[in-house]
Amino acid sequence: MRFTVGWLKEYLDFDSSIDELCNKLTSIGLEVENVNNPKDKLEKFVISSISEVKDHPNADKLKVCKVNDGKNFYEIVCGALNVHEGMITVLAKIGAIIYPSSDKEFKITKNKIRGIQSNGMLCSSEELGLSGESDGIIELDENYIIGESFSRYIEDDEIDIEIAITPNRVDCAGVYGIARDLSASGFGKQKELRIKKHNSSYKTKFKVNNTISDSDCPQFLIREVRNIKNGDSSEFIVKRFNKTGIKVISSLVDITNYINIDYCRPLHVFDSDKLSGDITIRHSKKGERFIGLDEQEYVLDNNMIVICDDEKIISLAGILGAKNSGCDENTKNVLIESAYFLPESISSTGRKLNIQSDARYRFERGIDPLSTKDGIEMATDMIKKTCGGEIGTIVNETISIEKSPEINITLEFLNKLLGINLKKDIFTQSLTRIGCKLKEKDGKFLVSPPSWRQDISLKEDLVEEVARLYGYDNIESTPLNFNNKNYEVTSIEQKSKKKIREILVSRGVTETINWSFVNQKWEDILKTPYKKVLLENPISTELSVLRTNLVGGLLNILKSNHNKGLKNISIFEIGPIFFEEKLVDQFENIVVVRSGKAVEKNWIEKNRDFDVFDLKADLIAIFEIINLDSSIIDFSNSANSYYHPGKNCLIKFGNKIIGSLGQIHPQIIKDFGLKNDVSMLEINFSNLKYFLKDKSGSRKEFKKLNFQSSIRDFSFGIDKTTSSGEVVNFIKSLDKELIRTVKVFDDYSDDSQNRAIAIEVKIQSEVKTLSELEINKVCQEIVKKIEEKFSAKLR
Amino acid sequence: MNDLNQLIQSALDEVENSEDIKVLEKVRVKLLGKAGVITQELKNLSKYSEEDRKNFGKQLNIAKVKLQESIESKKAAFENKELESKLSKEFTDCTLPTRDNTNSISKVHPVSQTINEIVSILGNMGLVFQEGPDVEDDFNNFTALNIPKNHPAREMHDTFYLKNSHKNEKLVLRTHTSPVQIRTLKRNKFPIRIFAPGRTYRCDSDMTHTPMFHQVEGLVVDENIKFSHLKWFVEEFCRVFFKNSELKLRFRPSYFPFTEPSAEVDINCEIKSGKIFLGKGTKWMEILGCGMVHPNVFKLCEINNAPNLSGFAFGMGIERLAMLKYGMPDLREFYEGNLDWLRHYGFSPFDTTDLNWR
Repeated sequence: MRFTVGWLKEYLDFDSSIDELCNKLTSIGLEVENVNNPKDKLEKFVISSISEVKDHPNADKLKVCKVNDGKNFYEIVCGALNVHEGMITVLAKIGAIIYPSSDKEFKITKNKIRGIQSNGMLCSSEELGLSGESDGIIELDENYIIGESFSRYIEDDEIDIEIAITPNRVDCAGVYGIARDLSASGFGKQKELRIKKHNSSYKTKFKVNNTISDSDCPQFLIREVRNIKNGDSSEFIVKRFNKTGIKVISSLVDITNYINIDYCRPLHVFDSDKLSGDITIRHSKKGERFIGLDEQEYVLDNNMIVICDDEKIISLAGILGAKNSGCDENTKNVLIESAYFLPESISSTGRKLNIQSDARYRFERGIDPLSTKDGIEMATDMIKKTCGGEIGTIVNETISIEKSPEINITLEFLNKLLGINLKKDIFTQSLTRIGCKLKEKDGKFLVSPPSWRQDISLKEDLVEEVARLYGYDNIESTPLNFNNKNYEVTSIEQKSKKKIREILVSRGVTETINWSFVNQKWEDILKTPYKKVLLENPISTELSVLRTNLVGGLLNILKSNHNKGLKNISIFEIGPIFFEEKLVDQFENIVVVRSGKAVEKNWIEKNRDFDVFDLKADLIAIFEIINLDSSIIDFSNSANSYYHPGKNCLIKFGNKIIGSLGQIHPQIIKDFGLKNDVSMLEINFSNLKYFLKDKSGSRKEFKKLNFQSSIRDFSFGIDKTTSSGEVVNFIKSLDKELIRTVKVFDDYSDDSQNRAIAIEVKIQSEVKTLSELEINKVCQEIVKKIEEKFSAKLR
Repeated sequence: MNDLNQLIQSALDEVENSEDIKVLEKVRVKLLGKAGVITQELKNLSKYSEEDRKNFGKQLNIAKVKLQESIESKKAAFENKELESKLSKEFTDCTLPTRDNTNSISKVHPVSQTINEIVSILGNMGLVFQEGPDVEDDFNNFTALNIPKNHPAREMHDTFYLKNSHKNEKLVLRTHTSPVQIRTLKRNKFPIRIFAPGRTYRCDSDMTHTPMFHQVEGLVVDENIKFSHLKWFVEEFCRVFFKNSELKLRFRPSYFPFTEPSAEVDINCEIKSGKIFLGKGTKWMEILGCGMVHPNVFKLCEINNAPNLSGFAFGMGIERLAMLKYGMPDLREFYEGNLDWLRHYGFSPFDTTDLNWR
């Protein structure tokens, strides 16, 4: 909502500064978003007179002027055609900043123009940031005193303010309402609203048939004005519209727009010669068509309010007039409409047809239902003044005017909710000032809010009103210290996620956060088997489907960084994925991808690429940090099809699938436009979380091992597809008392089916130092059982 | 006696004149070895009378110790010299780079870090971490928050709707974290002291809006919770978060359908050559929205007959908090996955958010 200070002053007397005005507006809930005050910028611009004009010796089109600012004379070069001796104008001295618009500002400097020193600049009104034509430098009359700053002469209509109107405060979507609210808050004094009522000289011929007066259109008023001339708008309207960014159209249309912004009263004007027969207000039928003043065609649904004549729809009520009956420069006879439509109906229609208009904005937020009559009278008066004409009677089809609700409230309730101790007289004064009617009985108040505050219906609304006028900043803070605090601020899942994030980062993986919606193409490339959830209104086709995994987003990041020349990348995301099952199911995944060199070329050691085992190490690190036993993870082959078929595994833990890891399928790498191999770890946190246990409390007892341990190495020839993990677990199971650790430390295979693994076994007893004989017995058992079980051969 | 003295002296000379450690070893064997001169003399002691044996033996032992010391010290000198000469040939150029270590350039995303900071602060203030799903139904996201169908406030939220086959239940991507308030209130267990950070979505994309962003919601419901408590709570949070006890806050009346009275809160700042300095100056920067829980919200969550129950709620944009605190200029970059940006604005896992150590 934008208005000029001059406009506001039509309804409010005040002497305070613009800064004070803006602070007050913000503090009563009308947040100032922008102020455009040329006064601030024109401080250094001085009213001056031109005492002498000479031709420039070196340029035909330039003059050299002697300019007097009341104290000194300045020589100034000027190119304006209208410059003449004795002229009073505005001088910008050296150092002044010219702001014709924010992007064109420049500073006046000492300057030689064609060999003559110019000590300033004479300004046009455009260069002063003022509205109006800029034909040469500004010429002022003798009412302007030479030597004074030009800023003192800036009119209030040159200062404009923009405020944000919250959806509940449509009463301030009019300049009059803003003045009313400022006055209620104690800022300035509201002027009385004088609406001139004209007598009618004939009977408006149109009859009104309001078929929905008991539902969506309780009030409908029309009046005809004949023999008018729809020419240019009055100067003050044009000036205010230019300042506040409203399009000037024609006198009749501008008047309705003006009253809309001035008095928050939407109106519509029809060219009555374009109407045939009488006026009917009804609900639309599905499929009816309507071409608006915006030249767009709309297909209507059931139950939208339409205004019709005997042949056609002439207006989509409260939202948009029809092209077929709008006013234009040839309009001779005009029919003014002032009505009250119910907010829900206007809102629903506006939403369905997606039409934004100033009328809709106001109607759907609930304007003052008692403003219909004022509106039609104001419009009559303004039309009469600018367009002339003869005034018809008002046809008033009004069934009921809603009565304001009555709200029960006590001062005690207010003080308790706000935490203050307000006196009764301030309470009653505040409510009275905003227009409420109060009745007091036994310390209880019965409050009727004013008709323009349709948003007030509960006692809490009244509390806000009083608090607003009292000033939120005047409410003193009260410390809130809870009894019985819950010291478990975070759950075990939340704690674990934080630890996982931090262990991954400390292992060289950077965290990313990606959109929850992705390109359908990515999902197709990955061939994910789940039923996807599509967005009805995606922001673009590239973000049209809820992701069923995090892989696409991460591969996309690899690609964009790759394109910039970054080759060695490790990234992860912890975030939601979505499938459609019963409704939409949401799970939480953790995905790590690594690509490029794990060790870059360097002078100390050999460089190498990331591989599956870097990701397996990440997994083990994650298990360790969240206190899960990584030694009992079950790695079995064959996971998702987006992995390399030979280099992947499913990760099972306690018989639940909790993820997968492997190298991404080369075809997918190619389809994503990548070049290097990518290894990935995917953890389904929603499954893993069932295993989490809080181990932050007391620990298990520490067992000290005092007796000597022995290391024995074995090398077995095994089948190429034998799982070494299985071999290790099997060895561990052979003697749980004596075998401490089992570790594969070498794996060798050649091109034929020969493969050997080397295994280190640590043997140690809790109760004694083992003899060579006892150790050998364990070793022989290992060899024998392995050879049997895996048809392996000790080498 | 003289013989012995002479013998010792010449032995000492021999030790002193050894050219290297090998010669020294030969000298040692010659003198102190099993068949060495001194060893032999000691063996021969039995031939002497008791008195002589005592005297001579004593002198011999003194001489032996003296010789041993001399040999040890000579040996040490040789070893020292050898080590020195070895070390003088060894050299490391310490200006060479280390093994390439990429671990130190990986970072925690600023949104995660900011959430962790919020967890620390609000946790300390007595609230508990709650989460809710990203996909919500119309009731939780709008209706129960006192935003009925056709309410203009729905238009303030550019909502993403889901194309799901279950037509009777319209699902949306939550437009704010406030549905977590509803989920908590519906449980009907009091007091409620929660906060809920998370992803939120709006169908909007330009310089200052991304279709996905993060919010954090706070909700306190108990007997006799007052607006003045809300003011304190929000002030305390902001001052701790920005580590600035001088921070000024301005509460302005505003409108949210689910709170009444409602307020927007600004913090004071100064803007100098495009940079924002918080807690200084007289300009105001919007930071959060808040208010007292609207009675309709209680009603819609079927909380009745609790006349003393009241509550406050607040909500903030997490990226906005991060931008104000850490100075990222552009919201969109949070989600571009530019590793250079992440390394620049991200955090080490050791940048703790613990209030006493941050």
